[in-house]
Amino acid sequence: MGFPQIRINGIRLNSGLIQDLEFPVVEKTGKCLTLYQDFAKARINICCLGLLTDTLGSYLFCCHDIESVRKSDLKGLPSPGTRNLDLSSNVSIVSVYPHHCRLNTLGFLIGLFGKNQIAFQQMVSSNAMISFVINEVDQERVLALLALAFDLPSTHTPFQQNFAGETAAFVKKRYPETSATYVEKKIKTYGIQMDSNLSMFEICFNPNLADHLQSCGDGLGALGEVVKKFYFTTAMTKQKDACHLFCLTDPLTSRDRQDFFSKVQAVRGIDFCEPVLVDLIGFHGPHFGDRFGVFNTAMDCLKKASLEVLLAGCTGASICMVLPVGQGQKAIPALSKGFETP
Amino acid sequence: MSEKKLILVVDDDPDLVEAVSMKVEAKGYRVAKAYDGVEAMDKIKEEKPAVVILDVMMPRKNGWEVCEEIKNNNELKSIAVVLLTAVADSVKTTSYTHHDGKTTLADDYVPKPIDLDELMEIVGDHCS
Repeated sequence: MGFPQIRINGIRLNSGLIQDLEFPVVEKTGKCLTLYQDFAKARINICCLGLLTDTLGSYLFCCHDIESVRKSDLKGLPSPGTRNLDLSSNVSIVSVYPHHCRLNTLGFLIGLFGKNQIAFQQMVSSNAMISFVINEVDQERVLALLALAFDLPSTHTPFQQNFAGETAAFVKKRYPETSATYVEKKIKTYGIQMDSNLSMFEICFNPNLADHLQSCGDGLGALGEVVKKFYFTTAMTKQKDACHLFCLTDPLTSRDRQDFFSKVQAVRGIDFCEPVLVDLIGFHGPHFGDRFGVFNTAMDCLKKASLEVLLAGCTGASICMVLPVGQGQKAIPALSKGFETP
Repeated sequence: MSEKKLILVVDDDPDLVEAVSMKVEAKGYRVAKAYDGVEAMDKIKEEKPAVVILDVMMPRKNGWEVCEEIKNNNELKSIAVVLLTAVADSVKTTSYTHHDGKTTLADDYVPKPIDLDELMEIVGDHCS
């Protein structure tokens, strides 16, 4: 007997995107801009972004539409010797919503990729969505799988977020307020939210191995039976065969941690890092996906306050930032210098 | 006891739909959700909500078109439509004004990013 399907409201697709990755440069090369700063300068909107800081420096992935780079000055990148960039892989973003913060849904999705032997490159959650960055060639297959695996409303059609060139031009002309072609002095938000003292754990696995994905999915699903809720999750492929998945939950008991640890590590080659306590800052509404420079402003505000960002994920209109425990409270006034809250 | 009024929240940004829906539910209303104009029209015909909170820029059918369809349909025209618009006062290049928004048959508007309390007040007015 099969399990009942998980009910969701929709699947969303962003296609025709380019993914750029930036890796830390180990040797000191002096002051240089990072990719998100370049994008802000070149007025390019980033529609999905992940940032991870470790002892070597920051890893970053950005997805943006193909046309925006063609039109910008960013064509000349990278500056030789100063940057470690892997530019231009064609990707799509597939999002499922709403996730209701359920670990079971996250586990099910990761297991689904494993069962069907499809690797995802990155993953980011927002308030409502879990978004996967996948190779463009896998797009149709992933959409079909998701549509089959989830219980969707009968009225739903997986739709493209992108408007085709002609439609976009028409909409822009007739309804000019709908396209963001300006930058606010202070970026408006629906409010800055903080959750403190959360437990952040990390699993490192090979995204190209089906049994790794399945084991992670099963582990997260089982953890979901006891912990239920995640606050934020993101996964970044730092190297071709090493994906680092982070998940923020309420603090785990040692029993839950042990059960989860043994379940996930039953498959050889999967690593699990001991959870650390962190603060999570989330804000929605700065139109992250259709304004340029939003993430840059957020990072700038935190940098000026000497606050360190361990992890960040942006998708749709949301930004989530993970800071060392105790720093979240300082981040709110720092961010309010660049962002307006109701 | 009277049945709770139904509010339809329509936006192609699922994060916004969730945020607004939580607020609407917290105020004691029932919520239906739609993520584009076509889905919205289906739900409006099927469920006849008291108020439609409607984004403008959406795939398949935009908010203006949905608003026009509602207000030109005798069976639906009593449904209150609150438009969510992305206009900022600082934008000088656009010919659009809030006044234009109100003359497009919508009952009210809220500029984006929306103030959820203001939105709830407007919804309350149209439900009373």
